Amino acid sequence: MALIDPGRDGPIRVTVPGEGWASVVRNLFPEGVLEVIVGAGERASLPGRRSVQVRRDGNAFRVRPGPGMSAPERGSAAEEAGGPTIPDSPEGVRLDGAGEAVSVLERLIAETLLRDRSHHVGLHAAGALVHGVGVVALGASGAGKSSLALSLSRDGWPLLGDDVVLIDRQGGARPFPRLVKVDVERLAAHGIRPEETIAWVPGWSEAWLDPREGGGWCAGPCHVGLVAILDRIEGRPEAEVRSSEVGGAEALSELLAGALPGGLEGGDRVDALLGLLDGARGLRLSFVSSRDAARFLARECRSRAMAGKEGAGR
Amino acid sequence: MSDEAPSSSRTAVPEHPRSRPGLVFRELAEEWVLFDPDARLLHVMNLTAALVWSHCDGEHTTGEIVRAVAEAYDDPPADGRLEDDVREALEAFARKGLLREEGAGA
Repeated sequence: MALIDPGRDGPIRVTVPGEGWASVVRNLFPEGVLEVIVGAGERASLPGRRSVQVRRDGNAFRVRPGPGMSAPERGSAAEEAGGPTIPDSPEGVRLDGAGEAVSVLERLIAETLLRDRSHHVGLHAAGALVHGVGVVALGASGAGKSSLALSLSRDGWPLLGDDVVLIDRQGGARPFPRLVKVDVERLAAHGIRPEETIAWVPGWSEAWLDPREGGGWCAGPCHVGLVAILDRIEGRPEAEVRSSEVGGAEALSELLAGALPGGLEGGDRVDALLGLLDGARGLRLSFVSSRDAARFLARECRSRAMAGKEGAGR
Repeated sequence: MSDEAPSSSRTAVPEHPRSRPGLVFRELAEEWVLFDPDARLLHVMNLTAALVWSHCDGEHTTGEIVRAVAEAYDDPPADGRLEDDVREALEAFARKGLLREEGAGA
């Protein structure tokens, strides 16, 4: 199943220092996106190929973007998350931990894939198709996007993405399929141990899970019926999910703030997001448990789907 | 503009107000929004501000904009109030850097 068109230049070649690395990195994206090579990395540096190299540097690792893989753009969601930036130089970046190196590698690949989507807006959001209703959930890093995506996936709903959702020119949401990355601390709430996940480096604070073990990925574009602005709060686990309506201008403002660099710009970007909002309901959601938030959204989507059917039947 | 707090100091408005290039003006339900891609800011406008903005083309003076906005209303606000609203809107545009500087090239 080719879920991501890897772009005109074919799969991204990733050279890693050993088989252990290869087994983790191969799992980061769906089949066909990456070509993982174990070795010194000379093959990955062929001109005209997009490549990224991880090599040992004493007790640390060095991640170096190769041809066609420029450093992530400033102001990106990755920087917002506080991750290290990767200089556009042959030296790349030196990282002390293998987990950090995997995380940077994954980000670099994701941002390169996003640059291929020049006719889209990349939204820093989670999303899923629930009861046939497209849901896009916005929020700053730590607001609960990935946990919510994991909960929705485990409830059987196909995902649009856990951290990025693509919006086409008409406002339709398209999947950006990659594994769901969740803080190890959050896994316990889902009854999952990090070693049970598909990609995890011992000692690293994040693990990757495969949505295909739940609802998989959304097969194609979908109309968005619900835009949720997430606000995960601390509190008693049994605390209720609270919601309030969000007006069109406020929702548009949140969408624009959550749009990643690159892709459609200016009026095209605004029009795509206005297309997304056309007929969509905006909700601000405060929650403690992402599982409760997922179920709340499922109920909202079910009501919306039923209302749509009744409307169509009249 | 509706998201603007009143300001005690007046801001200079060009004689022929003209919108800065690159700004995106759209209608959204019963509101109007103006997106500034450079600042990544979305400004929300009420009807009067949107009408004023529509006339910031470098062709109209403030007085002409007042008259054009008045003509757009079936029942324009009472004497003087509309002119104040238009001036406030123009000053807000200028303060937020949404208008071209006086003498800036086409």
